[in-house]
Amino acid sequence: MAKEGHKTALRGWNEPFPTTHWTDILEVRSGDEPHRQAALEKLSVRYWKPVYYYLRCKGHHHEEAKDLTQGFFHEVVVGHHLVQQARRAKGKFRTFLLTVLERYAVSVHRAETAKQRVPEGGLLRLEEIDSLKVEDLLHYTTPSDAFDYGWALALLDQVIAQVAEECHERGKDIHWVVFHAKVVQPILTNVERPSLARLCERYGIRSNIMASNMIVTVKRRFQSVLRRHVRYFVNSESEVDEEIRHLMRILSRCGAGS
Amino acid sequence: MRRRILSSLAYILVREGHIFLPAADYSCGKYTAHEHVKTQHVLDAWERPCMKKETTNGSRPQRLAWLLAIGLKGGHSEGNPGDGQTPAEVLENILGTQLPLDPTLPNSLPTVLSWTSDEVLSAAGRTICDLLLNPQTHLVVIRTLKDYGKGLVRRAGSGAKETAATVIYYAAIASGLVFHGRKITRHSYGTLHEAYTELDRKSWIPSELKDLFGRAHAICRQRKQEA
Repeated sequence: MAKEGHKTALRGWNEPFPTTHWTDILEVRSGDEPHRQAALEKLSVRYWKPVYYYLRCKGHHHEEAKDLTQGFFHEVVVGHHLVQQARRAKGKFRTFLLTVLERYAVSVHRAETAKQRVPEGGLLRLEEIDSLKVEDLLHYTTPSDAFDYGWALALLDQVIAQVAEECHERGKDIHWVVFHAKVVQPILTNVERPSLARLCERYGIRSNIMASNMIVTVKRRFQSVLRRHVRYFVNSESEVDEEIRHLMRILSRCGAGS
Repeated sequence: MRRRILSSLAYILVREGHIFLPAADYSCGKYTAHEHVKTQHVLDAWERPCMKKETTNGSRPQRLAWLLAIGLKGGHSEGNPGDGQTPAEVLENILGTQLPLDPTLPNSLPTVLSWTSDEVLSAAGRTICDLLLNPQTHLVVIRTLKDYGKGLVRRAGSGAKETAATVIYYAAIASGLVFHGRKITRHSYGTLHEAYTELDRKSWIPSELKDLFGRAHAICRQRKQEA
């Protein structure tokens, strides 16, 4: 994953010019091995979850969906198809990728051929794929909603990881710990939100105001990183809010049946 | 020199997550090793989230929407709208915003509801106006809108903001009466009847809301007579 924030002389959050998804896809196809591996890693982190969730909701069992996920990246994303089709593509990249995936999934016989074509050991490193909890989702979600659901999850995973890493690099571990305890952890693990007073006591923070300021600092960074990730896939800044709301509705819908 | 070495050592230990420093020292980058020894705490797994891989796997989807809400910019603002505006303009602004879903805001829904209500997430991304006028809006959401309106009235103090917030408050009560047949306030039907009579006179209130008030007015009049 590309780092989108770096230390600067003024110790501010530096915002480099963002690459596009096409830059990464073209990098994968370049002959330069280090660049190719780095770009593959990025693609893997960003796209495998939505692709896998979609395929599971299409009725493929776990092992089959894993092979097809690898096959999709090997044949379509890294292969020529995606770049060729992209020349005619309009609209959001998420929608475009879903359309391409739908076409790919039409031929179920690809599950077998995909396994044969993909390099031994797989093209992508599909972290945590064997531990994903998807069974509940399969019963009440459409494949396209499952794709967007996986997209939202991958997005949040990346944003959380990046903000945590940036806080760490900037010596703001305590900022992140407080934000995490107050905001992230209650959401991820359904634990009760600790009071500011408790956090202050636990981490030796002087006052509630100081703890609150820490949360606001990380929140701003979280917002900025999240919006940059979303911006990466939409056509304009004005579409970012719309895209976030769409993903919120998808999460809300997917959770309604659980 | 000894002090510098100790300081460097402490810095490395902190960066590697082996010891914890008080935030005030830590955020300023002032490391004094002997102070660390006095105050250090070993960070366990719970306290070192940045050291382990976080994942959304297994988290409830509706709760994850709260995290996405942090990214919204065009939605709710905790700023100070209303200065120099008419009640109609302030009301239009409030009605057009999404519910405050950002979990880091003090008056946001996750805070108000103590994270207990997943029904509220069905309101994600929808405007207050949509929610008030939609018969499908869950009663929990309507109650929350009423509380939200009440909070706005308190914070507004007086003027256009207070007037507009009052409309939101009574609109939520009307929504409960009209679409769910439930009175979500301790005000009597008589008091509500008077309030909706008064609101009916406000020409600047949008017609959709006035229709809602008209229906609530009729219900209150009937229930008042029955009582």
